[in-house]
Amino acid sequence: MSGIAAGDIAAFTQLYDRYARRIHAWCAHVLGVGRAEDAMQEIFLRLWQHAGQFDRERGSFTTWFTAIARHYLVHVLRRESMLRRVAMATEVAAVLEHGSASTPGPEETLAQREDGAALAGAMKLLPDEQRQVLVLAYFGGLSQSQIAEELALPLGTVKKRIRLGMEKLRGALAPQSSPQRAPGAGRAAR
Amino acid sequence: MDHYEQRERLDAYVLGALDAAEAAAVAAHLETCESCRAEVAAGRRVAEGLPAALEVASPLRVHPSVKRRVLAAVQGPPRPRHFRPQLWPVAAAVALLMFIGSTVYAVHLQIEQQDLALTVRTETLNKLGATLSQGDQLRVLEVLDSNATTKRSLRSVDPQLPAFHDSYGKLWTRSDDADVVVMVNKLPQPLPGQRYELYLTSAGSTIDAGALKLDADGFAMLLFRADRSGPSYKRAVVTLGSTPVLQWAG
Repeated sequence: MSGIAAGDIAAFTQLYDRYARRIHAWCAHVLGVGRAEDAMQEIFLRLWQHAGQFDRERGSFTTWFTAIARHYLVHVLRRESMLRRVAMATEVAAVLEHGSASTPGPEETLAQREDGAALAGAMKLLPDEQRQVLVLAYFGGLSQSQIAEELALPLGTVKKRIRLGMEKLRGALAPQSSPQRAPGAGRAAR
Repeated sequence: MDHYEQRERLDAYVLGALDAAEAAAVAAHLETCESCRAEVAAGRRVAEGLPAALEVASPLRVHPSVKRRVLAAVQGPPRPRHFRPQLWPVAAAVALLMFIGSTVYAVHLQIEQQDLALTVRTETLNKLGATLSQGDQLRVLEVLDSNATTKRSLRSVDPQLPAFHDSYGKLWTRSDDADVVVMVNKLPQPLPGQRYELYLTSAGSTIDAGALKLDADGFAMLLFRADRSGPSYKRAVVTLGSTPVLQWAG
């Protein structure tokens, strides 16, 4: 990241290759394919312009970059009607339920591949109503109260669905959560 | 609000699904609760993994031309940091509303973080006149200059967020008066339908102290009277929509 902050375009290109597909999928499914490229450009431009603000001691690069991307996308979404946001979430939930069996690109780190694949598998297994509220919250940027209002559900029901859904997703990551994995433990499966 | 009630909110917190006051309360609780911080760390791993899950599930691929376009953009001429073209109409509308509204407390000041009080003293008289009545100008200055004044600094809740990296705020209270002054600076313009709100917590209760209406430079001032002289706050949070962006905690 220090290289990118200093204007190293080769270092930036490496990060682009690593995260482009993820950011593109996020933008395309949330905003629509037609707006995905503009959004991608904006997000990567923010990465380039603010690379000097990244502080490794405060968290990982993925955490930092994910925050940048979500902040931008949620702000864009807030210009949309609530109807459009709920429709978007329905589409994202459908992708997560019926999605392809593809795997992230070879540039991904082992841990990132494992988390993404494990969560994708767990999301498929969630009951529709739990998947829906999680997607509305994270990808749609809706609060629990807004979700309850839009889905005409009691607030307590929304809270319970979020809690149950998150519990299952945490469980999907739990076996991989040990900080020190055996070297090459996941490579044998590649 | 006890530990168990806050713990129930942690999943919604990591997903960004709490209302502003709830999120502020959880953030305050996390400062003192190690077990909840651990719970939040586990939850954040899930939340941050959701885009990776979508990537795995999605059949879409990135067209190679996007890479060329992004690389061309980052190597192009630098753009203004806070005002992108699509935000200019919003900024202009905000500036116009502020000019018209004689009761708006936002003022146009250039404030440096290190010598804020001095800057305010020397520049405020000239600039306050545009938007505040003479009476309110004097109230502001009496709060800022009093020997009985306590100043608190509000910092970005998440300094990693580029949009709020340079943002900050100040809260002034007097031990012998009920007037309270709040300033924020270098905040990004809110999108349509959004606004900045100030929440103040004292003695276990949190109140919405009012909206902060930015000028074109991302600056706003709020002057109001507390319910009693010498208000004592334990926490101040500025939110945008439902997201806390600046905070101070005693």
